[in-house]
Amino acid sequence: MADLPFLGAGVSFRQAWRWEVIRHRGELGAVECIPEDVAGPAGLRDLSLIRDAVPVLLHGIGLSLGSAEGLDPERVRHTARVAEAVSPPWFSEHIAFTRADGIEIGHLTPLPFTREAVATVARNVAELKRSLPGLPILLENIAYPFLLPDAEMSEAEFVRAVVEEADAGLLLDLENVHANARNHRYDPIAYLESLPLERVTEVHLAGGIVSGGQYVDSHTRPVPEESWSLLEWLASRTPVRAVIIERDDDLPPFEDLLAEVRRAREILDVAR
Amino acid sequence: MSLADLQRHLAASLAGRGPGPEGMDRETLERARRSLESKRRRAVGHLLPRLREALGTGWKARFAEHAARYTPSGLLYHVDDAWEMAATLAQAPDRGIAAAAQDDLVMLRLRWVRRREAGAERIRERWGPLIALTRSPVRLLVLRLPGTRGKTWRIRV
Repeated sequence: MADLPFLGAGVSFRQAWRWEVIRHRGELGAVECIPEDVAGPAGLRDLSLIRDAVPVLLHGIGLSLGSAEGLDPERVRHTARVAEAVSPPWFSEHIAFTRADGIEIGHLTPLPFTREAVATVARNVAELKRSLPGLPILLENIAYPFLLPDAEMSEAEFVRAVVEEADAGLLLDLENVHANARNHRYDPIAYLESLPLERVTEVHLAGGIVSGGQYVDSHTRPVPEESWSLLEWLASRTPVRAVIIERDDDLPPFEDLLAEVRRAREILDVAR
Repeated sequence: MSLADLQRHLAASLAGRGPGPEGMDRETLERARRSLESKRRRAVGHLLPRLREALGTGWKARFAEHAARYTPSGLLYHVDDAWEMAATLAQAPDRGIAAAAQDDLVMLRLRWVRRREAGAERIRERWGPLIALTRSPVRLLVLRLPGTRGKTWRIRV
């Protein structure tokens, strides 16, 4: 992972921001796109247009790398086609599963913190690597609303075991760290200290809401101060290559996003 | 319990089709199921604005009926989900609801095509032409030329 390029700060791609992204390309280090959103040649052309303006990162949401039933070959082929068209510096996906027994859950669902789950993700990542030859793979920590029974290790130990056994980089979602620490009552810095920080390549930031007593990583609000502090802590300890500000709903004026991008870039610059 | 069994039970529970794995709090799972249904309903609501409006306060209950019956699939599963709901309600006995569902279905068909078989690429960009009539709020003849960026006309009739 050491020879991956430094990109700086950018945003997750939303169709509504297509022209804003191109207009403000000089201020964006990268734009992160979701291959599952590409449904044909026009989608691929859009991605190529953006790639010509700003470096594009590809971030999968539906490969279900934690599925015991294995990967869906059609989804893997689709990801490979999009990656071939865009030539991203790396590809990222989540440490989660999204489907089982023909049911599309519609959300990133946690895995039990067990050795079997570690081996399953590692096996699926190995298969994915065969379809994306030479492309570094990053795995992302998720926010989990509930814990699964029979855990054999802590969350941090689980994430470490997964990325080490899969020989993958780490996409550290600091908003998920903030959400999990708050909901499951642990110290986020102690959690970060337990991770293999030398594998961190990319960071995600977002803002959530409190609902039913839980902090929900909804990607609908500005990045909270707690997550900015975690980025400052992290950037001073390991060379982060890219920070992506995620926003899925309640889209604000693009200028607001750019202000968050600038703040992230400043934190990276101070730390470099 | 093996990981495969755990995931099978958990997925069924989150889709409202089973009690969930042993050792898990039912109330927590039910809260997660409701949250997922709400997320699914929001995504489909964006794609079916006429039907959502025609159903009014009945939208949530009709969506719950649809969600209990149908499992969407594919990369664009929210489009598949909306397509199935609109196609079903286009046959509804209430003419206002059927017209709204049919019109939303035309708007989906302008952008995408849907394969019969389930699978990752069930929903694809439309390439072929399309001629259709919509009725809400006014009668329009919708004409789309071939190509993935095919030009579209809406002519009042």
